[in-house]
Amino acid sequence: MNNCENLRELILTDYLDGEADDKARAAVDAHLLQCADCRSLLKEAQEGFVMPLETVAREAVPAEIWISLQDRISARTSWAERLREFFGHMAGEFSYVKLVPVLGMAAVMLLTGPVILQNSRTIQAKEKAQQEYLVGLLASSGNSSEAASDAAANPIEEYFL
Amino acid sequence: MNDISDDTLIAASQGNAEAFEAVYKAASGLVYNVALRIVNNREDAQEVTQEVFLIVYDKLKTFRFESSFKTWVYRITANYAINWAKKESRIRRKTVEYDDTQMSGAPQEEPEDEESKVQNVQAAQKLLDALPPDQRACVVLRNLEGLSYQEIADTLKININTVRSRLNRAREKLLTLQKKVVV
Ligand SMILES: [Zn+2]
Repeated sequence: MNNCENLRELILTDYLDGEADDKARAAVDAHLLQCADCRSLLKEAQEGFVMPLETVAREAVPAEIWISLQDRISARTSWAERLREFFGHMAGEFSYVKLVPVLGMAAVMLLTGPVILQNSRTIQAKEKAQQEYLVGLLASSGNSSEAASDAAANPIEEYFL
Repeated sequence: MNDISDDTLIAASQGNAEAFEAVYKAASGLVYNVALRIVNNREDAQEVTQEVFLIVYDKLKTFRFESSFKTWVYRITANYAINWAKKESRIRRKTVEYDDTQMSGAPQEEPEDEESKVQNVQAAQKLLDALPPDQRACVVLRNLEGLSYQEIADTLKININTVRSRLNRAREKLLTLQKKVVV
């Protein structure tokens, strides 16, 4: 009979996981009593993967995770504080000429800071494109205040090389 | 996962460092172990755990208490780990050889009574490694975490029949794997 095929998925899922309702479970139980193949299927499943997976012990969480997590959170917090201080200071003696290179540097640091901390492999290519875009942006912003952007261009370009 | 009071969650969401540490202490065991079994190696599990808690730190403000915090943490962890594992398996497929021994971060010399434990872990890792990440996550949530089908569906935001069919395909695969080993 083809009953085995019909019951196979039920046995491997709901029946095995105790999710089958009373009717379905009774049907499988009745079939198992008279079918050695399905009994061995169930046994194979229980011994082959249910038992090995369910008896794996939980592992202790390595202490270094919390330590570096704290570092990463406080690094982000202190960056936010430094920026706030910086802009507070800027507001005191505001001048557009000063703003161009300083703001540019701040943006570059903001972009590259997390990357250095993160030590990420995949982001680097994308970041580089962003940085190049930023350099281009800084160079073209020189129209309004040539001297200021020239002064900014050198150290930033060196930083990228 | 140890119980966390709503007050603690709210305090943590407002930037209270002590409350966030309490959240970490209560949930890190769950996050690390689920991540460990889905990405299937310790080094990556550490990174995933950090990323998950950075997400928790940032998004706790948006947690609405509609689902349980536990389900929310399971969801962030499982999704992050699945994506990580998918990315890793793409990288791995491109590399020439896959080092079997990297799975066991266990020290070289194991005490006698630890031996069966280590073997058990290796057996489980081998089984899980045979599965694609989506199926692996369902198996981890079901067989290691003991979640019901409905809880898995809620966690992964998928249909309960999808849970059922992923488990079925995973188990059929594990059965054929065993046959290969026996023959
Ligand atoms: Zn049968």
